Amino acid sequence: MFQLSVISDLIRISPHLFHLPTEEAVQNELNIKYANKVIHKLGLVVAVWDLLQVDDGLLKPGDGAVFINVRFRIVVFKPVVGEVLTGWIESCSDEGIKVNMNFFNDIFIPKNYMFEGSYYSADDNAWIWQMDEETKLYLDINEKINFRIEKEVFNDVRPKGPDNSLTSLTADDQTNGVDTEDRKVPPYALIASCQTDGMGCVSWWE
Amino acid sequence: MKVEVAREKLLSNFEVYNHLVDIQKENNWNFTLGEDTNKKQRRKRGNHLIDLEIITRELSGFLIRTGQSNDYTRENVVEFMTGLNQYSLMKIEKLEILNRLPRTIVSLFSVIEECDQRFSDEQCNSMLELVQRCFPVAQEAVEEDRMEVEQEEEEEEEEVIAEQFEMEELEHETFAKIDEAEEQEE
Repeated sequence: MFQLSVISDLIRISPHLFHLPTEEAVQNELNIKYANKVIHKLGLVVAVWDLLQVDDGLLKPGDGAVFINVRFRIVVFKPVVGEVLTGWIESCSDEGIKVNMNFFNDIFIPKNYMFEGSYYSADDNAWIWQMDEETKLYLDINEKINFRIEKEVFNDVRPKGPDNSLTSLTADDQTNGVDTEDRKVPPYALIASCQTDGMGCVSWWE
Repeated sequence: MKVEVAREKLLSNFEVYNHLVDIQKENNWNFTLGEDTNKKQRRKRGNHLIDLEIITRELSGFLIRTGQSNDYTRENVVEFMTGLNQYSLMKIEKLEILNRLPRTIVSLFSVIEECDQRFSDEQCNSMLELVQRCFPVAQEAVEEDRMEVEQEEEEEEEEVIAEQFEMEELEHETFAKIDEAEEQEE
């Protein structure tokens, strides 16, 4: 579920932080920059683990700050495909189930990854697994649920630069619409499944 | 920014949790040592570490709520891993077993791929016994869990429980430190 990644970066330390020991200042700056953020194609950064190498500071004319090259390790949340995780059901729709892990919410179980013979009931606002003719098992909101990771999806959410080509002027309205939609896309999402024994509500299997 | 090594090492939930507790302790986020010091800290540090504070709080809360037993200690984990080494498991499977602590055959099967072909029933059972021996579940804890499910998890209560666990965690750590100190003296 968690891993360590080695990263190198150039960090700017403002003059008002000069009273701190270098390592502390660097670590704080790194945590500000990385904690609780998604690195594209890597995963969700939790926190800095340790500093491996802190170079001497560099100065830049016209700037009072000091720039430091750092190599450090960070704790990254990046589940392996096939791993089983536990979370809570946040919402149900006829498309599937959205799962909440407290610190990470972009987990989705689409309907074709659900148990065979399960269907969505709009009246109960829940997914129901018809195990056999008599037994109905409910997947209600806020139930503790086990699921298996099937796929991870990264979306580049960097702001797009200005498009200067002539075609963009004519198709202005359309691109605007796409842009606002894009912004809602989570940078890092997980697609999960709920198909094998041991998955689904934790209470079923105890 | 440059990613030099994407996956240098894998971490267990236990290690991550300990790291988070350390961060919280360093910043005085969870332990009120008297309001004055807290306020001063706030003022000094300001709000710029807010992202770190949010993720440490939420993640440690998550780990406490999903940890089937919260009495992981270094000795337990080491004993458990050496116990697991006698089975021909992949590294990542061992890690997952440690994180999830399967207590039923079903959950063990869900963690280990093709479990029924690779291991005999006896081996599976002895693995479950190993889990139970290293991380015993107190009866009360099980009942508490059930209550929680029934009551749809009142948040306030959880916070209290979380604090208790953290205090326990603290005690473990201080004990460990005392032990170390004694060893050094000797």
